[in-house]
Amino acid sequence: MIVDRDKAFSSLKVLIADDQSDARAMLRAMLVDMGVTQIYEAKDGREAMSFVDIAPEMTDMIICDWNMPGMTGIDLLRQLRSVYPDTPFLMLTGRKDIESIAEAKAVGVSAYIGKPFSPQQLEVKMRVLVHRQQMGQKI
Amino acid sequence: MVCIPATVAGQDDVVVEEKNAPVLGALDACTIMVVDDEPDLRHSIRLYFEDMGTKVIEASDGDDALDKQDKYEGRIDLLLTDVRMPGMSGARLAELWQGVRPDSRILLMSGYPKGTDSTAQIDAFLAKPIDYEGMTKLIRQLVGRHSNDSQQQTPLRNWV
Repeated sequence: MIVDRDKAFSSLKVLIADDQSDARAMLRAMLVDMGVTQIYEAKDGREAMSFVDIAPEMTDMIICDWNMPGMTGIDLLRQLRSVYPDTPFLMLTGRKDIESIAEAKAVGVSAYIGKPFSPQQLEVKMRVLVHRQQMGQKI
Repeated sequence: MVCIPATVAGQDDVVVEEKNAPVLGALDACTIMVVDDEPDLRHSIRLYFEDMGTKVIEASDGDDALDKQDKYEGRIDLLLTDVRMPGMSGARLAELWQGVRPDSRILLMSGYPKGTDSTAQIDAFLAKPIDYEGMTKLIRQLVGRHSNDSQQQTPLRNWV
């Protein structure tokens, strides 16, 4: 399937936040296939926020579901942005309505992918975020 | 008979004949992304097509191309990319591109004979050094095939 592999993600540390274990497992498999080796998981927004607070150096990018019990993805993003304005945050959600997208954008989401999505769509968004960070562009 | 120094994907030594009467797209109504790590070649392709009214977006490698298409809200009719580049290859770029811009036509250019093992749906290959007249004809054919597919999207829809 993959004809060549550069090292774009070889040192990238990714935190997945999703309450569904099978969704986390599927996402992990996709990331591994892209060459990501450092993947951490949280089952809701609160756990993700705690992880970032305790080990900010272990989180280069967050990939997060919107709908989670307790602290949702958008709540996490809001809280995260008050402390970490530049951490790439990719929202992966079934909410594809304009209002949700606009809300996430206003709160400071870096990229937004509607479910269902393909591995290519995810990789493109991740590459774009890594590229912008390397170029010193706004995330 | 007009010979074009290019091969249509999956076929060897294709000769395009005028009598096939392909639908030729208007180059002044299309947008092309040109990806090559050689800036001189990129610039000359851009200037060549800009003279015909084509909108040209330049990118120096695969990640730059993906970034620029992500920022660009309009339709991109054609991806014209070199195969061998530092970082991501043109073949890999084509695969990823199809995941986010399925309506684009894809034209690979290379100084090496015979294309690539990409799993992407490549529309055509173009040999380097480039014959500009042949390239123009080929692109007009590719763009012409899809000239009726344009669709409008709101900026936020496009952003997802």
